Amino acid sequence: MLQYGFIRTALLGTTAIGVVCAYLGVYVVLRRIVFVGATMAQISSAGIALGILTGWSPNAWSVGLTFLAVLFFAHPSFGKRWPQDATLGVLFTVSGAAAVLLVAHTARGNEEVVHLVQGNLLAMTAAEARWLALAFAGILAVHLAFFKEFLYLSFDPTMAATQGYRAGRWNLAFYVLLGVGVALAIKAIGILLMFAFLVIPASLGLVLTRRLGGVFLIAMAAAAVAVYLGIGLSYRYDFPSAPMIIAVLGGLLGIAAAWRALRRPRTG
Amino acid sequence: MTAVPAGSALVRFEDVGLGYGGLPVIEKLSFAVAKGDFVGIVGPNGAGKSTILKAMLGILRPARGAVVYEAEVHRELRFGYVPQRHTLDHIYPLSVRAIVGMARYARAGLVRRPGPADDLAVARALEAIDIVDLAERRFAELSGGQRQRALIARALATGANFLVLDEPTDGMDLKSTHGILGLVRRLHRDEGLTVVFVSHQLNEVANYVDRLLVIDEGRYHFGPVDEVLTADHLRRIYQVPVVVETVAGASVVVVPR
Repeated sequence: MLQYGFIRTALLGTTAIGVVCAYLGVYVVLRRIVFVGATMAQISSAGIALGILTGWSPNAWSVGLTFLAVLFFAHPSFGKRWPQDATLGVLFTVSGAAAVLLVAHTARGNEEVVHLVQGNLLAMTAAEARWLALAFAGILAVHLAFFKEFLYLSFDPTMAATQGYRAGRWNLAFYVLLGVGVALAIKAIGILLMFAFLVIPASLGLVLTRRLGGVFLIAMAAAAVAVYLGIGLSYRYDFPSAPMIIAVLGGLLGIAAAWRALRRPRTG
Repeated sequence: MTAVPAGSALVRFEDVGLGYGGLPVIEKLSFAVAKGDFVGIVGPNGAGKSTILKAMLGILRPARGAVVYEAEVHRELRFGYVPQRHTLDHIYPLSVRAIVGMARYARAGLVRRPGPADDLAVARALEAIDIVDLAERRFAELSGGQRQRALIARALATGANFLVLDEPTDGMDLKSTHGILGLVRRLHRDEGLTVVFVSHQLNEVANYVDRLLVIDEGRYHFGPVDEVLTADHLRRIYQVPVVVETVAGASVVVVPR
């Protein structure tokens, strides 16, 4: 399959997104903000729908709306005056419905909705894939440069604050990087795969190892393997690529969980 | 009511009002902590003990009044904060050494990785708390007492000379509680650390600390243990009849039937 340029392009773009989202996903799972990630993805898709409707840069709309959401999620009062999950539930459903309604009467209404949800990896252009690879490498580089800061501020923001760290600003920086990643990824790979990359590889890492460094490495490697296998299987058996990558990720997680359960000492 | 002469305090609360989002938690609080003090802050859940600690640590700005750090000692003042251990999520797959090592991140500076001097400080902190054997264990696998020791080691690894502990014995059994209180007292006595220790168990703290700040529903009293631990004071603060007895050399506060 590698003889086809469009497949090589899809592999490059999707691997870049998958590997970096898997890295970010470790924080998303550890900070227990999985539903924040899902809601961010849904808001981002509403932005893309707005771009399709207006005919003006879906990426800009997506990043803009996601950035507003980021400001809201990173605000210290988020989740304090009103239950966090209720707020997220409202935003998730309303932005999801908005995305469908906004593109419903466009020329390719239903098709656009399917693309928003499932993505269309194989339609990625080479320029798009290179740009995505560069953007996601940038996000990863910032995270790696400030690894100890992001880890400390995620694990114990109060203690970090006593040592002079501005916890609020670091939290905002974390959400901005996550939001930009989500917004850029959605248009290329769809909500479903984006969300899968945030949750499944990190869970796999946590199932397989007890070292944080190992969790990051396993998550990133699993995302890369799933992209390659998923696209390969979808090409071989003529299935849509994004759901196939998710199926591979789910399968890997299932195998890992079973292996872990078998290794666990029996009690009683 | 500060009981510390001007000029000798490390940190001084002057008519301080504290709260969140416009809702007051503590009003008109005045007390001071001197160098070498061992202070217990005692009160029921929700009385504002942790809020006082946050103001002391400079991460919560008072709504009224001022928290003043003596200018000449402020440069040398290094807080080592020990949070309530249940506020830390055990899902993080981190070893004790990694968690203690976090204390050195601020010193290493942005982007830079901690160096050999930081590794040495971590090793010394683990040794001081006698948990070298736990260094590679995962934090989530430890008992409550062991986790608390790891967090105290992390506070020490900051190079702290002022230890601030938030409910370190909450939810512990008698033996672990005694162990942690004994450890903190040893650090105060042998290492010369100034200590502020929060608890909601008056009997637990009263026999370890030198001075007490007792708070309840906005009322408070601060002073040496002998002075605060009287039936009159406690009755006024808690608004219930109170008897203070001495059992085996220790003071015990009892609410009679």
